[in-house]
Amino acid sequence: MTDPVATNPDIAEPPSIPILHKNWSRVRERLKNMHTPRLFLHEEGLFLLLAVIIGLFSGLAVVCFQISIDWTRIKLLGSSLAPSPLRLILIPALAGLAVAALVIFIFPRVRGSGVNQTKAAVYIYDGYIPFSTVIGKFLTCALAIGSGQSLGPEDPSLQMGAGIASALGRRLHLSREKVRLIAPVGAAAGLAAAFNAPISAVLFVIEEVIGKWSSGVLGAVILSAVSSVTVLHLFLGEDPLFRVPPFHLVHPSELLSYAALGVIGGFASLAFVRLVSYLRLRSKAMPKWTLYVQPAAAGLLIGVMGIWTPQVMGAGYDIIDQALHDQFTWKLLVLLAVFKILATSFSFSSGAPGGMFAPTLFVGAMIGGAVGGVEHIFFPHLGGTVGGFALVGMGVLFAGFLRVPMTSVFMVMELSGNYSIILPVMISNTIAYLISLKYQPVSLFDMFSRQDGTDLPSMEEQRERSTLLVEDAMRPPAEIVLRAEDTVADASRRVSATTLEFFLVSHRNGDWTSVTKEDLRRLAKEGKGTLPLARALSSPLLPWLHPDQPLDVALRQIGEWPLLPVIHRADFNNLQGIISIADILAAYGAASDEEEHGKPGGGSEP
Amino acid sequence: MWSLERETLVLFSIVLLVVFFVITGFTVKRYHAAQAALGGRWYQRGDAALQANRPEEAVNDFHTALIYARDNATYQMRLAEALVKANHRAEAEVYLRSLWVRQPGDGNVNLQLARLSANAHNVPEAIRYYHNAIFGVWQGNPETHRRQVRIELCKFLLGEGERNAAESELIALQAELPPEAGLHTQVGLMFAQVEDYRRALQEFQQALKLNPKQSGASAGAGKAAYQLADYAQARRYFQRALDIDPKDQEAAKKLEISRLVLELDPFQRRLSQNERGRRTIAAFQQALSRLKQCAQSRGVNLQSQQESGPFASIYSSVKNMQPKVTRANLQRDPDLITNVMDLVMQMEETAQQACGTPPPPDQALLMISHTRGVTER
Repeated sequence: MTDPVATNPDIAEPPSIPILHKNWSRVRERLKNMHTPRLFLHEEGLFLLLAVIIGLFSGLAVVCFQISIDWTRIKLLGSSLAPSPLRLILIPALAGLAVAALVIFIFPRVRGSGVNQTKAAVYIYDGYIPFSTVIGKFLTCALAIGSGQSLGPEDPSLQMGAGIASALGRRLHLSREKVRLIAPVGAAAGLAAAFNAPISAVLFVIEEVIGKWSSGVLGAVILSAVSSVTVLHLFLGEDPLFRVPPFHLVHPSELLSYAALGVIGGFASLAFVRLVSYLRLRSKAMPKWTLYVQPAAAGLLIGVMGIWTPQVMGAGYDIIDQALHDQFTWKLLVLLAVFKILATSFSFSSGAPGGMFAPTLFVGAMIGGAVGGVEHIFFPHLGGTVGGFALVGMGVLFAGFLRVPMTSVFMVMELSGNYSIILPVMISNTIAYLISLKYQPVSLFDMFSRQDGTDLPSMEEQRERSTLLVEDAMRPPAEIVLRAEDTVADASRRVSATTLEFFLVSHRNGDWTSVTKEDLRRLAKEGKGTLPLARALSSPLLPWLHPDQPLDVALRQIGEWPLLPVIHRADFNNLQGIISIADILAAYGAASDEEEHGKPGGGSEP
Repeated sequence: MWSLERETLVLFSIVLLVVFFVITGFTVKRYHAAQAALGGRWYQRGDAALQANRPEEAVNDFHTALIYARDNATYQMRLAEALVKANHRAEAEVYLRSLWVRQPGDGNVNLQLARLSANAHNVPEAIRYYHNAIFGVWQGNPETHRRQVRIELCKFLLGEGERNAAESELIALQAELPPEAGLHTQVGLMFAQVEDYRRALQEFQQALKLNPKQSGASAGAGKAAYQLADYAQARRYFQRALDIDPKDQEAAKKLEISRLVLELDPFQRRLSQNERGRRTIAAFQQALSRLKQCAQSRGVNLQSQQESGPFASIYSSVKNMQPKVTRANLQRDPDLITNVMDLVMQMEETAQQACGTPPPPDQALLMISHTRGVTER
């Protein structure tokens, strides 16, 4: 087994930038000597305050990042929507060379998916993301995206946010647990500012990075996302990422068209994932020297595409906006979707830093718009807007390609500010998600992680995995259940015929205790044969379980007890079954066997 | 427990944040200024292209301008105009509707939306947007804009055959017209279209008062007077129209008819009874001649006893009437003039139905018959 840290550029390891470190130490020494008033905040309070600070810093970083991308584009490709062919061929290729040099010689950790790097920080490096990654992502992504590589700024923004958070958390000497949690807080802030959509950002981070709704982190994630979006609004205005046309469902039968969009989007997602995965593997398998020219080669290919379709270059937000306003024919939309899939696959697999979010939205909007355009031709009476289809299409690809179903629904709602779009979005996204899930068992981010030789926790697998319950392990109720009112003599008589040694005792108030044959014999010898068990016994109350509780709970509760009662939730004297440690282990063993045998073939998994 | 370093670092972070805010604010300010300059440059290019009637090029330029100033209402407005010109109506509508949501009272936005609705023949919606534009906010010279919008609305309504609505708008427009001969002529023409000849004549007269040589005003006034059966005025205006434009065939034709009407009409005031009789006899003979020529051209023998149909029927009446049509009888019995002229009208109408448009003297007779009541008054 190779060392993932050594082989995987996506995973960060502590860096050392001596000059920064030296200066920082000096500043710290001076600050230590200053008189500073004490802030009476406990760890939790500090965490929330830090979330706000992280949000503000991330917002500022994203504002500067977006300006840098724009500025780079204007300087390199010119201010026109359609640059000259010479520029289109030269600039992306030359910029690709520069990006490759920066990535190889100065910022080796900026290559790859920011989402996975943030997950690696959380799950492998206790929240550690070197600050040089933030600087590297900023510079290389601005150059790559600004020069026309078909990548988006959201994923880098997410990682920059996480990097800022990690740096602040470390400097403030937060507890190890908090430092681990602080990276997703920054990630949410970065993504929220990049998308101008705080709800979607929070959901994405919870759905894809953290994987669970934890009250410990939720408040901080929300605070940071809101803070960063506030900064963005302050500097770049409150307008949403896209000007979304008004939407209303003309007729319920139009939902059929949206279902068709879900099917088409699902298969398009599948093709997109497979192409990216295939090209990424192929580029990784190439000789090492090709790393210097891969981004340039991708840039050249994209530049050539750009001569005919300059729309596929860069993040493409303006083009999405135009598609939302029905400014392209359906044939051109199909062409743009296909070219964008190719261009993004070239860019991403070449190792050029940048994200997949914007290209996903682009492809989705084009496919949606094309389906809407075709609907207009064949079913003009339905009269739905092409913009509505393009908007739903964005969610469809988000659900099918990135496999974040919840985020995809809320993202469309947040971008459109229209609740009535929820029906088509839910239908289309669900269909696309299910198609993608069926034919591509491993999600995009998990695939990247496995291609890089790491095993980051798969949030999707966690969601999809069936949890073992107590009812999966329990046995039918014991033949003999004693009552607390029974006398010791009666109880001895009842248990004499059985070979069992341990018996449950039911109390009228719903409590459960236990008694062994040995206990009964001892009590009889002590002359307590006429006493009811409740008085004669002094054994502690048994913990009980319910059939629908996770089996993990049973494992924690069972302790040294030979078995535990599983009782009805509404009637505590109603014994539903019993469970022992052997039963629990047997259930886990059976589930493990089932997983081994039922494990998917892997689709295009490497 | 908090260490001193941690507290210091929180405060230091806040100070750093403030510094970054200032730096970012400065950067963003410069960025916005650069964006605005680029937007302005592309806007000017688009504007020039639109003025040079190259709408597709203008659309591209305005699109580019809007990349640098996405919410600039002026750019969006011009883009919408370019889109309309380039026939990208759906896209134009999207832009205009989003502008309208932000500026529902903007005159220009409403005007462009009205034009789109007008183009789609959506009359109620077009009227609503036109009215919004008329009562909306205009930057610079609002009165002129409002007047032009109302003129455009009138033209649209006339095109859609909404004559009553158009007339209401014209009356409102008439009240706010400035002293411009061209405008009065334009409004006069539209009044003529809704057949409000009295107001049309007023407008043409107003135009001629402001500019006696105003193109179209004399001919318009002549036509309005002609329709009002005021042939004396019509003759005068048509004469002026021909003085200005001798090639105006219609004016020449109507001048001839007006002159003939004035010469032939026996119902004109201030005529002696003798003259009335003479004119009646002349009219009768003219009409009879026309009837005979027409019947002959259609192969109808008026003398034949076996003939039936309109010619035979009318000719029978003519034969009965002909002995009575003498100057003495007409002088003695003024009602006979009316009866003869009724028969003249019947003869002319029969001939017109069978043989088409008659020559000017017969047209004049038809005019006299149709407008007899007016002339008598």
